[in-house]
Amino acid sequence: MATEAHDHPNYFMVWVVLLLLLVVSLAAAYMPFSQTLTVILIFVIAAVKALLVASFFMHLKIEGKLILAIAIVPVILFVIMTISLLPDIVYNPVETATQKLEAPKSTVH
Amino acid sequence: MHGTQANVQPRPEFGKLGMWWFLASEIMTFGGFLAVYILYRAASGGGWTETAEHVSIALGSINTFVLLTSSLTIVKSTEAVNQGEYDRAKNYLGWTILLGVVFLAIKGVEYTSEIRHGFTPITNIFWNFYFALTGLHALHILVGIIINLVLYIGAVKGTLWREDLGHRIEVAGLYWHFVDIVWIFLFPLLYLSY
Repeated sequence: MATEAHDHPNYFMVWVVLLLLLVVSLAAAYMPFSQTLTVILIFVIAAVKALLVASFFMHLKIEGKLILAIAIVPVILFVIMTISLLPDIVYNPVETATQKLEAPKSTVH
Repeated sequence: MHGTQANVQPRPEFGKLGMWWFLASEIMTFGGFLAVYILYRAASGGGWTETAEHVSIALGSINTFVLLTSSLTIVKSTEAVNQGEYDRAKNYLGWTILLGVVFLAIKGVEYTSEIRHGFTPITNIFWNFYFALTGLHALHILVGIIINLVLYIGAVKGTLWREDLGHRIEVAGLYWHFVDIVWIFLFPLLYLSY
């Protein structure tokens, strides 16, 4: 990423890249890809966008170890929590999750 | 920035450290919610697709653009403070507030249209998650707008600069960027994965 003299990222360029990624994720959603590929693409793009915002706008890239640890630990906990709940909810789902949801009579579009 | 030696890390300021500590708790607040939504959605095996198709991708995309841009304006405000250009910092902060209000206005249009077409928090579990997640996020936007507004008033009066409190814009910025990151994930989770 464009970095100027003293730890000074080019914020405008970061913003341009973020907007490009938004367009790419929209394109990926509308392309006739398989659902699996679409889901992987849009979430990889979201993760890259989040990393860009955290690294450059929130200055995590140049922040000390303490703040880096405060930021990363809950993210790891979130991942552990999600994975540990996976067997309960996805492999042995309750009826509320699996019932097919019908749209109401009238629709937005 | 503070003239420290290359191998000595400057101590983080209290405000910044406090904000990061708070954001860590916020990651868990949103994280618990998101984890359950992601897992229920995965368990549904595509059964929610029909109802989830009725969100407005157009308005969601515009709001993503609005928030990404507001992140740029508040980081430019911080940059201007560090360069001593207070007028520029004040203007960028003003733009950030305006973009936050635009986000909420668009969200309001979305909610109105959805509710009028019969999609409410009690319609089904997808819309329940949708309103809860976007509602909690919108509440965070509202809080961010208020924080930025308080700083903006300080900037207009000059107290922010006279009392050397300009770094508060950076701390408020951290919060604002975090709320932006939450939206970066809500957008594909609620709008694009149909």
